[in-house]
Amino acid sequence: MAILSLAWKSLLNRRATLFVTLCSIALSVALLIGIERLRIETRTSFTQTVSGIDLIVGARGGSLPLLLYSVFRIGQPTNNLSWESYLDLADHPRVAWTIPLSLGDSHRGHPVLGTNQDYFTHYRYGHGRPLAFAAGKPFADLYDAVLGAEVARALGYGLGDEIIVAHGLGEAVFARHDDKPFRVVGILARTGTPVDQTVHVSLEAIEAIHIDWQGGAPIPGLTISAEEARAMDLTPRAITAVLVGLDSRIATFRVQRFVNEYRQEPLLAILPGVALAELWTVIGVGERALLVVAGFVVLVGLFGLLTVLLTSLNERRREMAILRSVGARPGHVFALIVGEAGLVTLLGTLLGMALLYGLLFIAQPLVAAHLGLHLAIGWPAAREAAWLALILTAGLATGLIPAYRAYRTSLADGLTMRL
Amino acid sequence: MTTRRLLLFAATLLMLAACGDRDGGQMGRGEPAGDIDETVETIDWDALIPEDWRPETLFAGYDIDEIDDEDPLAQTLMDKLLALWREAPIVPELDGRRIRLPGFVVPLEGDGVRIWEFLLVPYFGACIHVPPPPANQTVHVVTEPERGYRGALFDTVWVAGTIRVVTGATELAEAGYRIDAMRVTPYVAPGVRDD
Repeated sequence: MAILSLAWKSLLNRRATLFVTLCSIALSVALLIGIERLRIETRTSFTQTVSGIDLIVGARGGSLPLLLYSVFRIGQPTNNLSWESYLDLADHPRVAWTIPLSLGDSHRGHPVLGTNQDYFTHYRYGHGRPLAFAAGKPFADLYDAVLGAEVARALGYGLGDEIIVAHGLGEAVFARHDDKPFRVVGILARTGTPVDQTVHVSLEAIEAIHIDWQGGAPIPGLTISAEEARAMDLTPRAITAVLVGLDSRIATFRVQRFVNEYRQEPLLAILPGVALAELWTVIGVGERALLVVAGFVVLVGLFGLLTVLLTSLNERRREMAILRSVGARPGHVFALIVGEAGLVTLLGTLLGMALLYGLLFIAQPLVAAHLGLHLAIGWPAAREAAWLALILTAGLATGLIPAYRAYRTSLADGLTMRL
Repeated sequence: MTTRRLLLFAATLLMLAACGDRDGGQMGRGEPAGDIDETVETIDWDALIPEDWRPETLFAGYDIDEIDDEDPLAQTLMDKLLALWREAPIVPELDGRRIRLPGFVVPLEGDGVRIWEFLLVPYFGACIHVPPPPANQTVHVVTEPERGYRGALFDTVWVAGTIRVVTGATELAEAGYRIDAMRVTPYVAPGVRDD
């Protein structure tokens, strides 16, 4: 203990240099643990979004794009699938429930999703939690809309407000379905998934707002009013994707086969778990590269510590000599230097973690608003703890080199010092 | 594994062999043996098909060697065989047995690090060229989330646990197997102890 307090006082004496070293260690620790944290949190956030869905069915294409556009609203759908194919799929004896999804329009940068009541009944997130309403109820009328939590918060909407859906994606859109405004009837509770970013309307509504767009744009003079559209046949002709739940998971491959071999139309069925696993394999390479770089940054920080300790040895020759002359053994001097290195690393690590948590608290609402992903802020995971332990060990080890030099320096060296 | 490699690298750079035993890589391994004991019996995929389920009986009365490939009878027999195979009968006696079975992981539920619900299949990635494995060659594995397998798609693993015969919810649904897994460990060829 005496050695520790001596190390502390000695540190205070040289606080300027050591503070800079401390900061470099703190920054490198924040970087390393931050990357590790983000890696895990993105994965958790992604897997939280698809829960209990056995298959995702869409137009034939890549399995990753299908997963990304259908559930995460990332990227563009390659094609639609016909309503008849959807009915065939929903009729399959092993299919327990389906959620049809129709994408492509947006409201002030937020995707508009056409679906049906099954969405509110069967969609699960965060390992089995159903969607809940913060206010209002599911859509019932043709021009009803249900908002995700983040849409309502960011745009300041409440129940009863009118919104206008834009044709296509993007925030500034010049083609708008302003002849058929929607009324907000429900606002969903926050889920921490892309659902928060989404405006939900019925499939029939998607059909209704496009009813006079058959030529790719509204034809002047041929407009159909909102009320006229109600009277027309609004059965959807095509949807973008279907989320499928089966009566037994053992049937997964069989239904997947049924979809992939469907003769009327080229379709693709994917297992969300498999597609996600593929995604991790793809981005795993980038993650590893980032971790290696961050590891090197920590290493550079530790080298900085080593430099500072080695240079300080010279200016501390007298200090060491005095310690020795009042009875400190070489072992004490050794422990003093190692303790100092350990203390600086420990403080650097703590400061780094504090910095990281500070940044996380700032980033959390921003990430939720822009990406719809929820960054959970919790205690360090086992892997992070292992990283921290490793850094601390490496810090202590860094101290061994200057400590050994101080250990070898004779008592006489400091006392016969030429000033 | 990255942890381990980085660690070894850092250790070498710092000329410090001593911290090599602090091995982050070990975190990727399965849970300790715990409640798995000697009563666990290692089975193979054939054990999931009833022994008396013999497609050969279908051919009784026919001399296979005499039937030409072009013979319509050959096609009929083949169709019958396939239909029989699709029925995928199960072995009810397996229900409740504590077994160990190797296979490939097709993930269903997990958090990106652990996989706690997956389908175990006897072969890998063949979903495109031939029909998928029949229901009696697909095992639904469920573990507690904390005991989830830390690994990737199509890893080969040993699954140890209690096997259950699950009958479908509807009449049309075929029966199948579920393993309530105690332990999922990376596959090691038989004969080599994995723990």
